[in-house]
Amino acid sequence: MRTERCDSGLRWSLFALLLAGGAAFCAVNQIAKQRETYDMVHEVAMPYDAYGLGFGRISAKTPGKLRILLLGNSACEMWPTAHAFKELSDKDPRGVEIVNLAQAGAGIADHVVQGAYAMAQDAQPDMVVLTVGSFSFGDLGFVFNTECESVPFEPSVSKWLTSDFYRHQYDVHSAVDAVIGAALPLKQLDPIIRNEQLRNWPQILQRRLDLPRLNWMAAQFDEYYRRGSVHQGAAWLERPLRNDYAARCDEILEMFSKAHIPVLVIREPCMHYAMSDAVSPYLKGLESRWPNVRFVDLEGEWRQDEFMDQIHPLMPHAPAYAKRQYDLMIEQLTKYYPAAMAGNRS
Amino acid sequence: MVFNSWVFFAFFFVVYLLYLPLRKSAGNWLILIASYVFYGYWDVRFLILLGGTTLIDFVVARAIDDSVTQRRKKMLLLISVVSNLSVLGFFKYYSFFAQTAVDVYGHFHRIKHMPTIWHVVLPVGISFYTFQSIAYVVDVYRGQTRAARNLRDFAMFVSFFPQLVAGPIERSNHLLPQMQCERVLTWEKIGTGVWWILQGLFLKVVVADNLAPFADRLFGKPEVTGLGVWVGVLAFTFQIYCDFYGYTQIARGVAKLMGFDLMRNFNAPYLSASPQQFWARWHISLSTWLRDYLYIPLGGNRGGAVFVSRNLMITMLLGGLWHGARWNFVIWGAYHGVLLITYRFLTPGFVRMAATMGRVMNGLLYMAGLGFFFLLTMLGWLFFRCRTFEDIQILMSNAVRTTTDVAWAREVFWVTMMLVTPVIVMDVLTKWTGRDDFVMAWPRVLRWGLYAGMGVVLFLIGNRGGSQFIYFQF
Repeated sequence: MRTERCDSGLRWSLFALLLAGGAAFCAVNQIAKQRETYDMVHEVAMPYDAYGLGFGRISAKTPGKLRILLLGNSACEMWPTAHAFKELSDKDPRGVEIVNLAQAGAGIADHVVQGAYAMAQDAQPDMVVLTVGSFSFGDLGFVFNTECESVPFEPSVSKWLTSDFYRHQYDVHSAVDAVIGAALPLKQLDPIIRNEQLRNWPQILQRRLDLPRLNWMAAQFDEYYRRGSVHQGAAWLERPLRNDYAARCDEILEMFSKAHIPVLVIREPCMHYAMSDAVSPYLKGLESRWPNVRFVDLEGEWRQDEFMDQIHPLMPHAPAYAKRQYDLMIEQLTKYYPAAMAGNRS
Repeated sequence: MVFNSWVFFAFFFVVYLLYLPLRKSAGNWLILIASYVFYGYWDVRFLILLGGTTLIDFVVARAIDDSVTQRRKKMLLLISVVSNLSVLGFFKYYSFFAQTAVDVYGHFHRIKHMPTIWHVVLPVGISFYTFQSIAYVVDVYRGQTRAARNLRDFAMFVSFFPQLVAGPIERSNHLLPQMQCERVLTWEKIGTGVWWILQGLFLKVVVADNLAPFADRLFGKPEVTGLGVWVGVLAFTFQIYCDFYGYTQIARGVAKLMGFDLMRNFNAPYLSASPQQFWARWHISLSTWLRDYLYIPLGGNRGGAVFVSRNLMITMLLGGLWHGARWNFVIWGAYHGVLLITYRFLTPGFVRMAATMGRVMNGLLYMAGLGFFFLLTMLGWLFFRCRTFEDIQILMSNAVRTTTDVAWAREVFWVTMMLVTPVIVMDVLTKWTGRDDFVMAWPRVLRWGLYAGMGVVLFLIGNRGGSQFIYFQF
């Protein structure tokens, strides 16, 4: 005859307690996510770089406006450029709005995620602008790749991504980590909250205790543009380097091609390129492979002394830098939506 | 899967939820599977070694138990020890000895380009579970424990996930019986387990991980001089303690939540006034292992001074080498061997001196002993942390220079002091009360206040990188 264990009451109580605690923790996670969610359309740029992607809500398109979805890296995310984009579109009588998903340290794989996230949010862009820069492809050993690992594991996003993407971007460890991050948004929010909490602490503590570690570039942005960032650069190097830029870029173009959305690919006018010679022919061949794609190469359009670090324009040059790209966007929009552009102007 | 990671948090939550309603047999199966998943998460290939060790020692121990003649028992013991040490030796020491051989050959034959040697990946935790398994077979051989009759229980004993990768190195007559019988949970055990986990996390992610950058700077690029070297070594002294003690406490806490009692591995080691006291309090599971399975079989305290000194030195050298295949560990072991031998010879003099002095003077002498031995311990950690002879030489010469980066030294000192003060308080309370679950005796309000305070500190300044524990590499 089986006898009741002497501690079975305690075990079941503990079981129920843990179950309730687990459920409460999951609920807290979802509440925290809701609280941190912001409207990306009204933001100049995405707060908190890659950490902010999963918390951005892309609201419905403003009636009468054409929407540009901007996928890019720090060159488009950094404050003066992003601000200039916003100002240019807000003042444009033709009725244009830019949803700027650019994030510091983003490479081509991140742009896939940015695109999938926008589609999952039903962003309904009229045009997509993909800006690629020095380390976007990084097939010479260093590639931009951020920590928005959890976003691809959100069910609404995952259906826009291919199995090849997951196979190339994740190993078992990073996938498990990402799944946990998707299930528990506090994992992603943690550095954001702590960064906010600890920014006002004394310098000695900020330097020496475990603040979310800023990489040199984020720290430089923080200093130069006075804008918070929690990007962790070390992750760029820890990720496996895959020379699969063409597959990733094709995924983006395929995604928007299926939705009949035109794409403007801009090679940023930065000074230093970490791409092999194979990348240029690939980029130049995009137009022949994808009817909805236009490629514009701005490499070398700017002088070295106009950049703070060969990639990011200095403050005084940022508006002109943004204007150059904005004009290209308008040119494309006018090509695809001549009536709307003309109608809005009138 | 390190304890200080979200993955482990999720893993243990699921395992524990499943474990709670299960009875002994099903619970053991669950723990065994969980342990293999836990270990395989590092590298699936490591499971072959773990399984192999388990199977060999299970079969050999049963054969020893069933053997009638001493000769046969001895032969079987030899098979187990040789197979275990061969695996350990190959994976842990092959590269070291091969590289040393190549270096020596190259030195005498003036070869400029050394041949490339094959570097072997070190399976995490191999030193810990191999020693635990060897101890089991030796215990069966000595008749101190009966051979396990159930492979599942024995496999669980070898692979028990809370202590699999960095100990404590458990004894079969302590842990195995717990696996063979029903575990009874009480609220007190749950409370103790939660406290240990919280304490361990605090020690690891707040103290050790925040001290790590200081030690990394000092030992990474030996450009620090003067007092800076000493405060850097001070930071490492507490980093390694809090890292390992933190791991142990989490391991004990996790085991306690499941109803298992793991042995204490630390007992306020830096409050030791002599090397003997230190080794009775630092990494207790290893030091007692070395005592029982190496020092005593070598002859222990029996015999003349030279013989005992030889035993001590062999034990400490092998203890040092256990940490890894590097000469700095050998030096560290030898250093502690010398300290133990010296202390052994000086003890009669100390005893005579103490007898002639009053209580106050004895107290002062004890305090001086604490301080002096702490400095000696720090010096030992300098040998331990340096990777090469050259680094040791550079740091030692830098340490006696008069120039110091005062700003850096001051910052390291104050941050170290700020971080280790709670650790020292915990150690004093542990020593004072004789128990490391001393908070369980506190009033509930005070206890929960402490938990809340630690939780806030953990949230604000705890490292989230899921950094590895130092002892995982051993």
